[in-house]
Amino acid sequence: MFDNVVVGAADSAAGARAVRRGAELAGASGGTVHIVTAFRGKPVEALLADLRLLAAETSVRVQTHPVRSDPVEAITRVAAEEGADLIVVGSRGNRGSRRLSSVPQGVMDRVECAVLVV
Amino acid sequence: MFRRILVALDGSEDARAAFVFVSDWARHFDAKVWFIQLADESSRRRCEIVTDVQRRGRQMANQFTVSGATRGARNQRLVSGISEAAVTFGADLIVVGLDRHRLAQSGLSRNVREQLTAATNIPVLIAPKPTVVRVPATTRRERAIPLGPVRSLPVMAGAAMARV
Repeated sequence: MFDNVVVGAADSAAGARAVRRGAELAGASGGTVHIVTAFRGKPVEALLADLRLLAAETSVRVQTHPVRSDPVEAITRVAAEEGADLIVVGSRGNRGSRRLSSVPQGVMDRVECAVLVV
Repeated sequence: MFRRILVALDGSEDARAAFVFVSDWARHFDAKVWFIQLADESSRRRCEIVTDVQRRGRQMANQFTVSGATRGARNQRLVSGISEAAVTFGADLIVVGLDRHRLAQSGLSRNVREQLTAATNIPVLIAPKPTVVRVPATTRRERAIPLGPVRSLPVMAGAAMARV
């Protein structure tokens, strides 16, 4: 069903939620989860290592992609390169206050594949 | 894993793609799927997708109406209708297969997806565009689900929910 699931994740609860869901869906399909973290200056290797461990709780192949760019550009670029079947992104807030940030909005406007907001 | 999926469709090409996508998902992950179809007030049009569902031996489950004097009221009714149906069904995933341009032409907001995300804590999936829905050759016949007229219809008023 999903050979390549791309997850856009930052250092947040929403990012962790997205990684878990993406790993779950990719794992159930025998696919690969690609974790994308955009950065400008500060390195994100430590964050990606943590997210990799989080994804590895599910039996799934994991690839990490640190991309020096803005989040929307980073996610859409990796999605295009990897031929993503699904992109998973987090939303801000919890019940009653959840809202879409500019990142999921921007991703949904620019990609052709399915986008899951968790 | 998502096992109970509510799908909002409007009869557009986006809806057609969403239908195929979710059918594939349901078969792959053994999920149950309910559909909300948005249609115009014509009863004949209203059966656009549901008719095909019935042809497959399934029954319509519920209907409700999206109405309101203003665009805001209709948007709110649309969003609350979808989210309430998701709660009623016990959905753990909402899939949106609505054509944004048609929504706008019908006086409904293009930001329904944003409002829907805000209105519910259930994950929301925006279905892939029609051009990227892949139909595996081995099951092509099974997945070539007819959805009725292809031409655009205004999205307004009536909505029907069908369980398949």
